[in-house]
Amino acid sequence: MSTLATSPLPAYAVPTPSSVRRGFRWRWLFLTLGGLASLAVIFLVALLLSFRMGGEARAVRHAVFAATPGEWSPQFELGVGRLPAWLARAGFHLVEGKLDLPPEAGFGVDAFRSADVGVYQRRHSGAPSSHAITLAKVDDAMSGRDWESIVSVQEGRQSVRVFVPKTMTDLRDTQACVFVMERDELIIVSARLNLEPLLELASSKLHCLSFPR
Amino acid sequence: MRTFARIVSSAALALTCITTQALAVDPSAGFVDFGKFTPPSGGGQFVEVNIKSPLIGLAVRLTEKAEPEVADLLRGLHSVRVNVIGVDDANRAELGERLAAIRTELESKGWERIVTVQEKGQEVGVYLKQRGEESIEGVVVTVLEANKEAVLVNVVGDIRPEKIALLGEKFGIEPLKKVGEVTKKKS
Repeated sequence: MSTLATSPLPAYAVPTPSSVRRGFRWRWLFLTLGGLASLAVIFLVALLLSFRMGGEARAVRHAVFAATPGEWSPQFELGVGRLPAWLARAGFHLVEGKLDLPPEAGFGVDAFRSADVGVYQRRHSGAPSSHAITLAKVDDAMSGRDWESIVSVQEGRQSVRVFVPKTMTDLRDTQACVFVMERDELIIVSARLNLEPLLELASSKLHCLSFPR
Repeated sequence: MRTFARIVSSAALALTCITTQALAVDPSAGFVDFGKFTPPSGGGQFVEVNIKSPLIGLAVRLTEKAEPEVADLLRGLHSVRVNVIGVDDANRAELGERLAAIRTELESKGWERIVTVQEKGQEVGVYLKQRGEESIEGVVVTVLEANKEAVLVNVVGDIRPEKIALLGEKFGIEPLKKVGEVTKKKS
């Protein structure tokens, strides 16, 4: 008795070496396409998420919203995270040669790492909030993230605070978060910069030697 | 033999560390805790500047090429603290008492008063904490303008009082510029 006769599968269903190869090829094609599609989705999600406000800006916003009665509504809110900043830098360097831009623009783009801006207005404020409590909550929130206030100015109902990370020592990764509050208005600006290109620019302006990298 | 060499080198390293620590200037020696201040209830000005060594280190690196003189000045610093409190009827007496208490405490802790100005309702005191003949551990400036503001400055580190104005200029701290002018006039 032949092997084919004992097989439970009909003769046409038995995979031949060429059909096995073809199956592998399809599987690899599906896997590659699936992988690429997943990467594209991850990239898009990361890109979309990087337009959210950054962690520090959100911490300040949350602390103010929680400490004050009434309802805050955003007038303007934009975050430009590391990914879009990197894409912007890459795009800029691609078209840099074709555009007639001053060299300062290149230094500025190179220095930019990420930024967040939020402008909020308070409505239906009801009971007046304690400015001191709000500021204390903001300080606590930033302190919890290992940031500290280096400048604090208060006059009447207007407050300005500048926060920086407690352990900021790298010129290539400097960060600051500025918080301005006046009565029912709140402005939060946070930025991350690489100061080396700006130093290089300053050095070139001063006719010094180029900044050592 | 190798073990012996290892023990000797470890002992030498430990001894070096201990000696270095013992000889190092204690950065907290020039620090003065002014305590917490509250903004004036009448809505006057209230400013706090608190710059510590990591940020000063960054400033040194930022300025060392373009302005080596400023970088040298900053290199010896550990921290800079400035408080400006607007004076009004509600807090005038309290601020006067607190500044007097701070001055008394400084004198009792061996701070030397090098400048005293008292004119037209303005009281200025500049105190210096020295370590030996050459080294300065800290500077404290107290200013009380009865109808305007109280200013407290504590610079921790090696800095000459006459350089305070330059520090104010470089960090953009207005009260330090004024203090520098006063110390220049009087010293």
